[in-house]
Amino acid sequence: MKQLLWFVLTITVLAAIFASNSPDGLEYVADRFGFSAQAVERGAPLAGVLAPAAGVAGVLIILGIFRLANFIFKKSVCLIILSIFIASPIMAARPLVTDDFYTVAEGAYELEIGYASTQNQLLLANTAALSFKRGFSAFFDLGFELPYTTSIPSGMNDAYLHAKYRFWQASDNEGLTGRIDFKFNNGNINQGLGSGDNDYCLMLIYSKQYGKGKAHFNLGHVNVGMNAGIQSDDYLAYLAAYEFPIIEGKSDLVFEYVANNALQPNPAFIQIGGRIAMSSVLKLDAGYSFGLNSNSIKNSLTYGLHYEF
Amino acid sequence: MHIPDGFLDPKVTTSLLGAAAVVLAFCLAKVREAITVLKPATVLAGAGKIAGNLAGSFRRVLSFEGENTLHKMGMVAALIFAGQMFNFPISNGTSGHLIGGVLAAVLLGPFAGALVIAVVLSVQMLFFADGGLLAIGANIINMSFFGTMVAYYAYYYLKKVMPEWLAIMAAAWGSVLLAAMACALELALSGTTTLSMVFMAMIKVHAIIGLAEALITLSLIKLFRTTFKEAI
Repeated sequence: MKQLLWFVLTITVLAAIFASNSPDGLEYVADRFGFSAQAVERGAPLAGVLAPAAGVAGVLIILGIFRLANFIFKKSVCLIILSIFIASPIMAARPLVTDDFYTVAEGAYELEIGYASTQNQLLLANTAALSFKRGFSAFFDLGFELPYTTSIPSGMNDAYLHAKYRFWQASDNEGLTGRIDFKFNNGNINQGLGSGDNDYCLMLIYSKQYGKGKAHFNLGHVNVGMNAGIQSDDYLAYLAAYEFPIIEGKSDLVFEYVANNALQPNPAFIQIGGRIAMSSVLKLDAGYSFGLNSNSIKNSLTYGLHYEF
Repeated sequence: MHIPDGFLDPKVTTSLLGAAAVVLAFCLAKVREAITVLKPATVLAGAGKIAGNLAGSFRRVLSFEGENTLHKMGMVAALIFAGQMFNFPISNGTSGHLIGGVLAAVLLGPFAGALVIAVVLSVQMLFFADGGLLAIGANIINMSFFGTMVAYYAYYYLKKVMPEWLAIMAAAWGSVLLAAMACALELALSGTTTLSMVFMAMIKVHAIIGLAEALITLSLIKLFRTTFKEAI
């Protein structure tokens, strides 16, 4: 590329030096048929400048224009990333996006309500979401999520269905769980809500106690666009979280790393948050996340509650 | 062959401005489609989480190849800009310069090629007073539409019946003639001069300029395909 740039600049300087001053084809014809005087003379920033210098400036202007095009297209990328990461509020262990291996107890219900305010260079998006789950057996729960975007345009986004099955448990704090998420295309794509396609995600979740805290690792395969007509573009999601109790059973500090390989460099963010138990069944939480590269969100603030009954 | 302001009358100028806008919008849509990939925005938030798709209109993402294509377009545009600066003398006190339409179209395809030529023409018009402000529509139609897009299809079909180098040269030569004919037609429609006078004169002088265009186009394409293979 560098070589080519030098070649272009050399050509420019040579062309400027050796260019003929004779009228070009059209000017010649205009002269001959006597309408060349009709041409409107006007000035321009580089019109009178020494030819080689003006030529180099012109080359740089043109390269700059395409740089700018690159930048503008990248900007629209930011919006996509934002929507990749927007509204991560509702999951078993709010405010974490990373899931743990637990399933909701048999016959019990879990309700989570969360609100996220996510920002990137271009805009701020607010999303409220509700998640509801029921334990159908000691190892299996089923739930759904309904997200609502309060930014413009506002309205319902695509809904999710989750099924979680715990197939291995070594102790209270160590085990392996599989999860399937299914995304419906119920959002109104014409309003910019929802993606208009069905996705599913297969997630493997491993949790283990390290010291006082618990660590969770998620690895998932996301299949984008199962229905026809949408270009399929699958990717891997990888997440890790660490929960550390400040007061046992009362409050936790949580840290997590969330990334996927949908784009290069991989969109990734880190979340730092906390949870306070108001009672044995109600927990309040808040979290702050920040993106790690240009493909990620700039930052996001989330808060919500977790209720079991 | 940059038409200055004053050669064309308002009706020709404005209708060609409109036509140029349509052509460029079409090219831009095509190029955008080529350099981006459809990324359904509701990709699960890393974990199969709720992910709101904010704006349906922002569902296209610049791909890695797309970024390379933009770099390549920039380089080809810069080269054509340089090439257009070089006025080479032809007979009886006249000169000609490269248009570069076929060069751009063969290297980048007809739509990206037409956009590249339009960018070059706009920069020349804005910064170098080369070609009129209002006549930019006419210049884009002549050199970007006829000289690039239409000439590309000539190249495309000629390639099937003759060796590629000959097709490139024929299309390059034809592109200059085509642009010159369009230019002559616009001048005549504006009442600046009569078609019978200007048409043959434009063809005669541009038939010679076209020969140089053909040679320069072929050698630059060869150069791009050999020496700058990696860069592009």
